[in-house]
Amino acid sequence: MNIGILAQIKQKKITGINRVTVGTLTELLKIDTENQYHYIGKADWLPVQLDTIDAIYSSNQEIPLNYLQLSHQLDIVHSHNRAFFLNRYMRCGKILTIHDMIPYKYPEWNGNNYDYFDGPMRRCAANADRIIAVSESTKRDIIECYGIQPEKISVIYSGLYPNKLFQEGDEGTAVSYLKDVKFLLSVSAISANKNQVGMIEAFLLFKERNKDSDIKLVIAGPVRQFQVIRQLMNRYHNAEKDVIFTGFVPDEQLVWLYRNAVAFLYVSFYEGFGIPVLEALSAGKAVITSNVSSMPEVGGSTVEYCDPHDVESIEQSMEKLVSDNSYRKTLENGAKDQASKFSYEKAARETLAIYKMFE
Amino acid sequence: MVELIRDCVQEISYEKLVCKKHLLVIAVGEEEMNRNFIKMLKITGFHGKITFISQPKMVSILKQLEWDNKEVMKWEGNYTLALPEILLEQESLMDMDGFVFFSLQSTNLRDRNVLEIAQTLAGERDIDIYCVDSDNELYIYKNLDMYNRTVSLYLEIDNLIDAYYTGKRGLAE
Repeated sequence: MNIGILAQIKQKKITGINRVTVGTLTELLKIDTENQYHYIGKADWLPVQLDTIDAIYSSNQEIPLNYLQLSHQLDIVHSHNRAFFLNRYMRCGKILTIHDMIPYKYPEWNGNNYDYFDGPMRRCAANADRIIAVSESTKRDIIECYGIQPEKISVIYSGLYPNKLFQEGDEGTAVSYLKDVKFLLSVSAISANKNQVGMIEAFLLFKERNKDSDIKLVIAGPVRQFQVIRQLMNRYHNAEKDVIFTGFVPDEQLVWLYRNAVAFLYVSFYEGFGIPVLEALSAGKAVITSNVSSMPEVGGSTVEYCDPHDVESIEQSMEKLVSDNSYRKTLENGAKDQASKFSYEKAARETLAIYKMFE
Repeated sequence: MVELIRDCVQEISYEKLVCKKHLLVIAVGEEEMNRNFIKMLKITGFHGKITFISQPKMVSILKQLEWDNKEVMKWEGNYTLALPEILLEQESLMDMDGFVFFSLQSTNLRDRNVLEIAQTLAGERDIDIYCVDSDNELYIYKNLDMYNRTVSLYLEIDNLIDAYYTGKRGLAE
């Protein structure tokens, strides 16, 4: 079969959904020698070798593919979180991967994309022969928001890309000013669902109640609502010294941060999957994460859960993990086994099984 | 036809902007993208004037950008052909020689309104049209008229194919 892949916009530095696309494609190309894969659009930024079919994209609208399909006769078009339009009577399997429904369910967090999820994505999901959701939680949301039949949706979990990052023995590159520091780690993006304010408030509360503790909170990645965070930190003694913002760090330093943290914190209000939780588990770390959306699927029974809407609950989880060494060790011991349940090799096998439905 | 569209857009170095006197920039809601653009202008040694056209919520942020020779003009609502009418009347824009807009990608079926504005301005003034994409890369539109016409045709053909398949199935049923 000829399979056309649509991805997110090009990125020189591959992050987010593009990592899922590249991770899955890398493994698909290893295990599938029968089908021909084509990238729809310019592929010069992709770290995998693919034939390309030049196409013109349309951000925030359906990408029209009728013209392209007429000239290339693809057997399947598989889009990763991009709405596309192919006439429903054209002979071509239409597969859409949806990562989360945040813009639709929580427009107050991501208002700009609400119309896209209510229009083009909704129409594309309805027109698709198959939808892939990255978690059971996302599947439930697709059913709830779009009224799609459950039988049409398959769940394929994400993995880690590049997976070599968290291999045994890779210690990463030290962040020099943190070498002698005992710290809790969080990595984050700037989306509102990441709950950075709640996490920092809970940590400062923890420090207030444990004045002898020398532990710090290290936040890697961009920071949202910096003014609000600054005001919050002004209310606490020594907050400037206890909360460390590293900004963007390269992958090698990220590995070092994971490996050297006392524990990892990820207390989002909502995730489609929750890659950072998986990264921390792969590094054998004890994790505190939220008891909502997809995070319990990734964490299983080997993480400490809290209610992200309740600062006291987050603080209590920190207290438990920092003060109880034996509990922390128990979580660390189970972390890698839990992480091993997720991989792009597995995702590729499951994706290929879906492609075979169209033979 | 895709090749024809792509041929109208060419990736260029920021150094090509150094000779420009006055850039008219349609600011974007993502603060970081505006900042990165300014950063690139500084690195490559552009010293001209920048006039930002901005939605109200971005005006104060743009005014704080570190660029001495700049002006921020507020525009509320969609960017329509009413915009160039007003811009062409502005004395302060008489010397503009470059039009810059931001887009997720340089060839994007979504940007037709902005490119129509650019085409209207280019019809009256000697300006070059540039796009900055999400990776902060700079593109120049070499033949805007051809680009706009081909994109319209591309969409029209796609719609015709859609209608053909729907009609064919309708006849069969």
